[in-house]
Amino acid sequence: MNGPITSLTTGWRQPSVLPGFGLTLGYTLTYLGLIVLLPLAALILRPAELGWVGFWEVVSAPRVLAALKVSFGAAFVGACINAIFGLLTAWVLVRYRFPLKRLIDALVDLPFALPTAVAGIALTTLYAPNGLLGQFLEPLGIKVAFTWTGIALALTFIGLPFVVRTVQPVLQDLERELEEAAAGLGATRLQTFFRVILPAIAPALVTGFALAFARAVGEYGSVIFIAGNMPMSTEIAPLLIVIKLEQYDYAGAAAIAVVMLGFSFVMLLVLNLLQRWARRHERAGA
Amino acid sequence: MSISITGLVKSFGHYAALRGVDLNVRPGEFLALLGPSGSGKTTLLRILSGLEAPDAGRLTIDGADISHQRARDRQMGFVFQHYALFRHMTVAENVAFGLRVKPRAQRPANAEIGERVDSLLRLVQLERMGDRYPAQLSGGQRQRVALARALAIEPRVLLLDEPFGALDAKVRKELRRWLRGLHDEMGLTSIFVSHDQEEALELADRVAVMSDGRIAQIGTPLEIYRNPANAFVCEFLGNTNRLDCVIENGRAAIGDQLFYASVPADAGRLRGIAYVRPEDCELRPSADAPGLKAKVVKVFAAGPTTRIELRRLESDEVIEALLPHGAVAPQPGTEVALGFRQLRVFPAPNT
Repeated sequence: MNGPITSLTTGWRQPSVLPGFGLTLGYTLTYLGLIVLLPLAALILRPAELGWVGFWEVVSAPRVLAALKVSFGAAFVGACINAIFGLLTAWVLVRYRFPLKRLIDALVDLPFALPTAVAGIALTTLYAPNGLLGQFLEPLGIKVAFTWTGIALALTFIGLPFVVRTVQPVLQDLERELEEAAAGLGATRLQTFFRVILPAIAPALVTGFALAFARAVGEYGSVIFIAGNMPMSTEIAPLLIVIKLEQYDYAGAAAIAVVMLGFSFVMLLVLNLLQRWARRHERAGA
Repeated sequence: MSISITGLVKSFGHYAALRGVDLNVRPGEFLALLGPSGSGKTTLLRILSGLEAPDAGRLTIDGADISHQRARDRQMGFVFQHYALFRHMTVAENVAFGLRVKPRAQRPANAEIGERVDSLLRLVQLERMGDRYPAQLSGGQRQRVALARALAIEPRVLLLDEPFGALDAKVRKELRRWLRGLHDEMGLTSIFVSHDQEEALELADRVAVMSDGRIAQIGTPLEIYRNPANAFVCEFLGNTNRLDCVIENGRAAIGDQLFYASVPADAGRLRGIAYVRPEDCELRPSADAPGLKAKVVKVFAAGPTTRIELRRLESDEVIEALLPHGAVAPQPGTEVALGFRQLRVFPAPNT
């Protein structure tokens, strides 16, 4: 009895200044199990009541498919916009000194802190056809509130901090000498950016994108106000889940959730692989 | 390529990094910019490369003014102290970078780039490392990659900013000999920045000693070592003993001893500093012999020469002397008379 255990512990034990591998790993597994895995397991078990055919009927309903398309499509577009402008914001905050820089830096976190419903109401008031901005956009034929554009806008709003805060520290650590070396070797500014800087920050950018995307897929509060919630066109999947819950269709709600979960999992897996690829030179060093 | 620099001035805010630098670099020369940190040597190199713009002054290469040319058009190879290799590229991709970013019309074909990279990697003795990433190389290897990358663009001048600064002593010595050989072999014109006087004196054809944004002296290593133009150069190059003295009638009085000094005889009586290199000290065993009275404190005999630490009896100043290998060293505690084969005297700065 004693033998295998000692051999196991000696095999796994890594001498370190702060001991406690077993204890911390135990806590981590218990914690993750309770907080993450248990609810997910319950979620996956619930639609089982429907059976395969019932499950397929729920998730292949046109209204559900449309909602999933809206949710993932708008989240993707929002994350893409954030990847570009978040990178720009991080760049400006890292590279330049200007008045009120600290204030602008703090401003980036606001979408984190603001209750999402507040953000949604604010965006809606702004972009409604008679709103502060909407009244000028309306004559131009641009409709934002209660359209797909509005959904993407809200999802862009809440995702911004993720990209900025993941890219910023990496950009901070990027040696200026790399750019100087590139310039000295004859590279233009664009070449320096695309060949030297972008590959160096790509892993962080992918992480930021993934976080912003994941957050946007599950977003509910800020979207429902601006979306208009028209079935088949501006209805998001989380809203559909809420609707099903209100109709006491728990299994149906869980079925949609399982599809979202599976799709998100695949997306994050792909992004992780992409990140692994972008970091291949780091593994080579180990 | 001959480079001519005239009246170069550069400030960073209130800090004057260069206060008027004139310098001519001859074709094929290996020039060292030597000086303590903050003396402006790196700024000078960065202005040459175009990474920094001067406030005033002119730069020409072979007569053509390049003062306003951008770094990427100057075609100068720059080697950084911390290599500045592109981590996400393999060694071969790093070396090829300067060729790949050329405008399409001037860019060599892929096959040709491959050949050039191979021959450069052979040159820096890293033939089989092309597929590795910089993280997999040692410091010395990384710096050779950086060198190959700089040479790939066939630079008109090679600029090296403390290229061996981040390497350990043994690698540093090997690499600098190898670099000197490469410079001669390829007929390069090179300028390198160093704060290590041993390195500069060993490697360079000429050394420009910089101090406080100016060139304090320029000359061959032997010239500046043997005939330092001022107190700063004297003190900065090599080990030297510093003794207070009084200059009068072309002589320097240290304690009760008089030494001939190369200062104008009509300068009157003024306070001065005498510099004596340890190898120019002569120990006379009897305390009655002519010379400065001193007491032997410590004897370090391990090494090619014997180093002796002495303390002057009159003033408690510590003096270091070097005796050639095989010379009989006095015992600690004995009193000796010190003679100087050569000493340099400069008027003391007015404080």
